Amino acid sequence: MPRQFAFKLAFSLTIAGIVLGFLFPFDVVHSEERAVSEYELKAAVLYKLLKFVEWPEGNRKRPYLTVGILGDDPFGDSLGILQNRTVGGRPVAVRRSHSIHALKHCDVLFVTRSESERVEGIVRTASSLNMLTVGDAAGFARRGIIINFYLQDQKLRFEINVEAAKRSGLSISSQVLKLGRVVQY
Amino acid sequence: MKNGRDGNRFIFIVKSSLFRIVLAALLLFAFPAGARQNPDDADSDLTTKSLEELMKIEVDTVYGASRYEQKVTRAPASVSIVTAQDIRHYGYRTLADILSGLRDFYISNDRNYSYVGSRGFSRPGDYNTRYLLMVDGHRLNDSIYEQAAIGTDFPVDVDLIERVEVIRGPSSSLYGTNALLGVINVLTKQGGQVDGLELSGEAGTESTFKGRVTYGGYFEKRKANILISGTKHRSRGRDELFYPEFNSSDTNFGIVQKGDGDAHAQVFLNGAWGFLRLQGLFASREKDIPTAAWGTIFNQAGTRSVDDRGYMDFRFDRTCDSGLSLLARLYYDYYRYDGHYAFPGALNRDRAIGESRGVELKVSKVLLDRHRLVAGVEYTNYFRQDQINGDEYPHNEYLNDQRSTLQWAAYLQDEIMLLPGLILNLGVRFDHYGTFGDTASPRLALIYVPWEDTHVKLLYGEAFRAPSVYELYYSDGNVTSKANPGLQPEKIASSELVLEQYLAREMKLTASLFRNTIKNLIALRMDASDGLLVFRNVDKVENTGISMELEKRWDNGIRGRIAYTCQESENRTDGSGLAVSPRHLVKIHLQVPFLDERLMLSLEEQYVDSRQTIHGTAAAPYFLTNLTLSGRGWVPGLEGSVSLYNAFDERYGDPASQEHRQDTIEQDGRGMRVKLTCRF
Repeated sequence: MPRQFAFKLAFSLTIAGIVLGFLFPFDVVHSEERAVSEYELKAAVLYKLLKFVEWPEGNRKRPYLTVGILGDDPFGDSLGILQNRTVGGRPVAVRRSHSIHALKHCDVLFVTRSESERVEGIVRTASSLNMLTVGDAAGFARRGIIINFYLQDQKLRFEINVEAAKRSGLSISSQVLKLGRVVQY
Repeated sequence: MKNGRDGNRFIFIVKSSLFRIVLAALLLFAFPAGARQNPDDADSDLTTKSLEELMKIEVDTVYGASRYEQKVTRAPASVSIVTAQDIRHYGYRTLADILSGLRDFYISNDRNYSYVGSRGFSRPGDYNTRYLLMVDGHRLNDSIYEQAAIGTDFPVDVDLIERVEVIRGPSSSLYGTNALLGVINVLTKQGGQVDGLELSGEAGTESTFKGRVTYGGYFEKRKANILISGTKHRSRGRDELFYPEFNSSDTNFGIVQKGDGDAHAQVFLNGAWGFLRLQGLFASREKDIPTAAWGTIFNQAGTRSVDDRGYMDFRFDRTCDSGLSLLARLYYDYYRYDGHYAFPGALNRDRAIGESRGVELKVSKVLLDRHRLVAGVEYTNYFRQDQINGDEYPHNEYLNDQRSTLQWAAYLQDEIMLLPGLILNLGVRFDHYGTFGDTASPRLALIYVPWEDTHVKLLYGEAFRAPSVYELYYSDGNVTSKANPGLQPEKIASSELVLEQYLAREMKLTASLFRNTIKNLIALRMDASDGLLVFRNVDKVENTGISMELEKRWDNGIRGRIAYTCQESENRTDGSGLAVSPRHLVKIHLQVPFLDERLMLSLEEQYVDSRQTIHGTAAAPYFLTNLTLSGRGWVPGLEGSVSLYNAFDERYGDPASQEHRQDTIEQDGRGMRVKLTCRF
């Protein structure tokens, strides 16, 4: 029965596909593109922003400026942009974790969407550790994240929660405040 | 059946060549074209730019946001999402249009309602009761027939949809009844997304006109979002329809004239203020039935169905500082059906009114950093479930059944991060019904993310559908049908293995293997002892299949998607094949932008394999081609589109249900629509 044969063939191909896909992950191939991907741009803007932020004395003494990614990392390879860079004389390092305790020595904490349900708790911990919190989900700035990215007409914008920055003991240059939308809470 | 053998061979040739085309296309898709680019080049480009310059760059957001949205990747199911942009680009007119473009789904229509089937399972005459339809989390299946209205009777204008989330497989562990084969959650736009006054008008073949007025705004100071919208639609339908089954001199030689009209009106309100949200809608639709269903007089005006739907949903939704998130909801639902049937010698009216109110409480919290708990309770009082049937002239009442039911439920779900990249999702819901008693629905899902671009999901779930009031109590005074208050719920057990793989930044493969066993299916049967029709828990259906989907976006902005589903279904009670169960389904989508995306050409191809009718004959397989050319950005605030549906005028019919003398109901040929929207 050719019909059944087609069915069986398709069936076995799928199983084979799933098994193969499992065993041999495909390389992430960067196709040539003129348009910039969302997270490449976010990584670049984040890097630029770091130059306008001043941390307290204690942080500045650390050998590295560490950027922590909390939760499901949306950047992929885009954070490669931070490799071999320095900010304020400190080389930049990147760490990733699902637990804030593993990231407590970071200067910057990028709070991903997956952490949306526990933002308030994260903010409290982060501000006591003088971290610059950065997010990219709607409403994060109102909930205490210091810099929150959003998209408008496919362009990258950010909100700044000045009060939250003060609570973390950070000062942000007025040049940046002019470019972003200031959120009061 | 003169041409039966040739016909079969032809179908087989079509099928096998189709299969090869699909395979070839899948392989083609799998080898990404274009050279590798050294990522460092792009990076250094970006960092040399100033902050101001960076903020002028446009980003590509096709995957950006949705790809990592926790909801999709961590969802313990195979999920598809259709966005407002897709709806605009593909010229979708109804929710049925949206669903028919999705992997695994197919739609049929009998010129009264639209019916959804998926993965080879659909029951002729089923009012989509095995799908849960929600608007912003509010249940829309009515309280009499449990119908999910997806055609022109769906009460929300598709232009107001922000996105549609289609969750395949059983979800009763969270949502209760109807969530047997899938959940369709329609999320609507917020006032701020419209931001001003919007007027939209469209005109199409068969004298179809639709107009919409929407006002939306976000008031920053008061943190208030308001959206108000009204829609009016009218279509004369086909001027002439031909049904060969009625080709005789006393039934106008099978020709129905002007019996296919469709008119509906809708109002919609969506307001949010801080943590509070109020949503309400009302919609009424009137459809002429031209098919002489239920033995009504052929080619006589007056046989029609009227469906009114409305609800109010008031909610408080807030996430507290402790990370505890709380949702409290109060709701009221209204449904009215008014069917007019012109029988020889009498005008029959079949009416139903359903009213209900209820409350839901839901909390979610993260515990010990690795448990995401969701718990909730729901209570609904269906305080009015009336069914009335009688003749107008001469007056005669056959049924006046008044009911009310209480229903409550409690559910708990825990998403446990066992190891980094390994998530276990456990859920169970307990439902109590005043009619048949208690039922429990568990779900178990293991989600494995070995590396960032790979998601493997192993899913098992059980779900139920409570018998509707219509199935329990409808009778016409024991003339042809009788009630069966002893009906039990239908049950499904479903297993599925899903692989979601991002092959390159611009490509995604989804593959799924599924197996469903549906027991206690409620079907209309004839009682041999008295010859009356009655609903019984009789059938058991098993189906197995695979489905695959590949999405790709090319460098020049072209987007494509190809989906293939192959399944086999069997009725285990008698070993017969299943009616309306296409073995193969293919969906192809392609979007080509021109002139900086100011013009977009969108192509949709649907192939639906032959489907068995209830009389054992076959409805021929068909290919549908829909084309839409849409434009925006030429004049500020103005956008427009021209759509061609069934561009090659393919002649095809959908299998009809028991109430029709027709074996298949012929569907629309080529159609056109022009649409213009302006914003102030």
